[in-house]
Amino acid sequence: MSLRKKLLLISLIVLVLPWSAWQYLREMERFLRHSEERAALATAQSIARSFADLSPRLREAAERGALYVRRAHSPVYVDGYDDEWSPGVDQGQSFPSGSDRPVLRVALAEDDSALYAFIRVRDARIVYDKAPPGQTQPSDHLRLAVKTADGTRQYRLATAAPGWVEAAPLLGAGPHARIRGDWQETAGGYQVELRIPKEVGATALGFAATDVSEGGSENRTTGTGSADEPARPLPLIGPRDVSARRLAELAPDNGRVWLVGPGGWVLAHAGGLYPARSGEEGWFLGRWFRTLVYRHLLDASLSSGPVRDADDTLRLTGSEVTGALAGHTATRWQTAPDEATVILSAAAPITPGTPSDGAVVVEEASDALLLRTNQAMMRLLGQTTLAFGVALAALFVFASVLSTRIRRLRDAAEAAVTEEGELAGAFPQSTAADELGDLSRSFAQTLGALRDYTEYLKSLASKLSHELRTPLAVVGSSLENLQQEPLSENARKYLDRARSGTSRLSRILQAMSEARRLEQTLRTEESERFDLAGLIRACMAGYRDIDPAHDYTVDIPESERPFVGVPDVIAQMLDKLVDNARDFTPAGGWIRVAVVDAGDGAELRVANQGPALPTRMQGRLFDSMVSLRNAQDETPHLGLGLYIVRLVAELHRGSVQAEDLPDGEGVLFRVFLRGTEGES
Amino acid sequence: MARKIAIVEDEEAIRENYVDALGRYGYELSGYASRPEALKAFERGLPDLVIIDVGLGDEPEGGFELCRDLRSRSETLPLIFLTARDSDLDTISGLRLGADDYLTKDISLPHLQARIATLFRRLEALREKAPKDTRLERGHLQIQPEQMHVTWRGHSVPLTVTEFWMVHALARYPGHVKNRDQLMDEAKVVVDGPTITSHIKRIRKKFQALDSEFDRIETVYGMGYRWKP
Repeated sequence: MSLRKKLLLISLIVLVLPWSAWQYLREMERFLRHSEERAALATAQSIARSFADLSPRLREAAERGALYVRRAHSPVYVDGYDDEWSPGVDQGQSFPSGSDRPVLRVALAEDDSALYAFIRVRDARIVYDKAPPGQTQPSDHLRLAVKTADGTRQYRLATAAPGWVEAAPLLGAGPHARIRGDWQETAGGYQVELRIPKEVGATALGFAATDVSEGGSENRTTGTGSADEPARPLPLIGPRDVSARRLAELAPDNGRVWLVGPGGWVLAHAGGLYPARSGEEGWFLGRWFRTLVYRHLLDASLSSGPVRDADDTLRLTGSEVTGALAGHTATRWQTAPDEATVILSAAAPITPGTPSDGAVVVEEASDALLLRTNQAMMRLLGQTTLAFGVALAALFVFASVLSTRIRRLRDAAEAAVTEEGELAGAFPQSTAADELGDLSRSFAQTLGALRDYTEYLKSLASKLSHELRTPLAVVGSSLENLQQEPLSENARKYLDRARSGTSRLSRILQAMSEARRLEQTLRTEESERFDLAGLIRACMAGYRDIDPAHDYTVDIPESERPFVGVPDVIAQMLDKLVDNARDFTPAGGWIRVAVVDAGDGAELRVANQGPALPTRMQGRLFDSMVSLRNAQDETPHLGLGLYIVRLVAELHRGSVQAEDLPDGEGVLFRVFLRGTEGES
Repeated sequence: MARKIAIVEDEEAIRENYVDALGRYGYELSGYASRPEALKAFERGLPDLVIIDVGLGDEPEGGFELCRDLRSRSETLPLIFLTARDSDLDTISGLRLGADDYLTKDISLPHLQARIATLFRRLEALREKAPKDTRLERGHLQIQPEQMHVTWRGHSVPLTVTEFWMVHALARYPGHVKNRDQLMDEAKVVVDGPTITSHIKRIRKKFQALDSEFDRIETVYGMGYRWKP
């Protein structure tokens, strides 16, 4: 695994930090939530306690049932339609309770002058009372029971047709009061809107609707009371019971408080939910960030739902309300539709411990992220995150730089030695004062020393040849002198051998220095334009002539091949290649020479029949002093021929390679020549 | 009277061998081991021919200095340079010290003697009041073989003995190709191909110094060289 990957893996460990920070944040948030809950509950409880006096009345209402009377905010027109009733009558109480298709719906409202009742009845077929005045006949009718301080009086409401009705008193005591209203038909039945003047002094009301069938045979009665007494009056509860001001005084500054009676009916409310507490808008990119953080960071496991509207809510539902009415405190969190606000609803029973009758519900809206409201916390959080980010970035940058330096060193080390094992160019040294710099410098030093030594070894041959010339001259000249002296036959024999030995030695030395001389020549020679094809053709003609033992095939295009280079050394190179081929080809074997265009230059191919290249020497064929000949050969071979070929090729910005022929017949040398500077 | 030849060579064995070998040809030989020694002797009188070793012991430039010195004293004194390294030949030639020939030490004695004889012959030819006219003319080229004098377009071309023999061999039969072996024979040297190439190159350069358009010596690849007619 590369350094970088290792580094990345290790830096993953650092991720523990943000993770633990996250956990911490969650705990903090939870803690803050919990604190809020407790605070809200405390408020609710203290308010609830002060309403403990309501308890008996509410208990009675809870046990016996009650009818809820709402406060009429706008004038009520008794016209049989509930348009001015807000919220609508369908929010009212239905009987039988719990049924999903109630027969009777009752809504009550009051203002300063009267009580208003709206009764909606489901009746498939309305049977009107068409009896002449003074008589009655079976028809669909409403029974109304009004309880006052004097007693309970019953009334009957029926009509011959939709329109104005008056409640006809039945038996019972009490003052006769004019209870009038309007009867209208509806899609599913009929509805009646009644006005009961305040002078009546009603303390309880009961309603029952009787449905008769055509012909009067069957009738069914459904009422607010029980089965045996359908129109039994129920006590009235509502905002009338509580002074709104009393609650307002107790309400907290932030938030809303509700006082509810049994069933969750709203008796009073005070305060407002907004404006919510919120911190500065500009911090942390504002709302977008808050929502993001809230949703992903913390428990977003809250329900979402509409916010209770102050004016339109007659009844509070909700788990906390149910819980409080059951006698214990409860809280509920809810997300507002905008997702950036949460609403805490804390409910406390008026009489704790007993399933009660009333509860106080305190609502508070706050920022979804409570943490945000704590400025100091957020600042700390921000700073910590920033510091962490900076530290991480710095670490990463440093590690990156380090790994880049190491990689550069590795690349330089790889590039320092070419494929052939030669030292290429200068090794880039680092000037840094740390360990990597030291490593780089010692690398450069080692390579420098190696290069110096290699240079020395390379020049050994020519130095040696130079050193040997003088003693050779001594021997040579002495032998020449000896030749002139009178000698015995034996002596002459030995003299001849000595002379032949020295001439061999001389040729060896010559060969040894040939490479150096060539290098010098190559350095000083000037290139010229000439016909490469022509030159090679001419040379080949010469070789053919002097070597009848082998079969030469020359494949060179007849046309001119312009080339820029040093013709003399090209000829010298060809000389060496053909020489080499000649020596390794058995008598009668073939030698093939071709020149083809290749890439942006030309390729000279010399192939000969004969043994394959020795596997051991593959990489070293073109180095100086590498010889592949066997010992029997007379002529001295110091393996400089192919080295010279390579030098010439390189002078012409080309290269040379040797390979065995695919069918194992022989060997092919390929010299690629691009030509010296200029164009080829 | 025997010609006097001086040999300046620091390697004793070689010097003595040369003295003995050349002595057999009838020359009077004197050997000197260093430049100061030779100069002191020359003050008393110049020899007829001097053979100088390039690398003279302590002084790497000793041979060159000596040559310059002698030349300043005599325009016509034959001077031959000897060196162990044939790579020096280019260097020496470039220095234009005015020597008459540059040779490597592995030249055979007969060949050396041939040069010496030629140089003496030239000396005599120069001294003659009425030189024999054995002039060779090939276009702008004029050769006087006895005096070993070559002119191109009237200008004198300073060639060494070796170079003169090569030019003579080529120009004698213009258009004929002379291969390397033939040139070696004529120049009385035994060298390898690249050395012949260097000689020809040097010859060309000397002609081109006088006439940048000179292209009379043609390389025939695979065969040799020839003088373009």
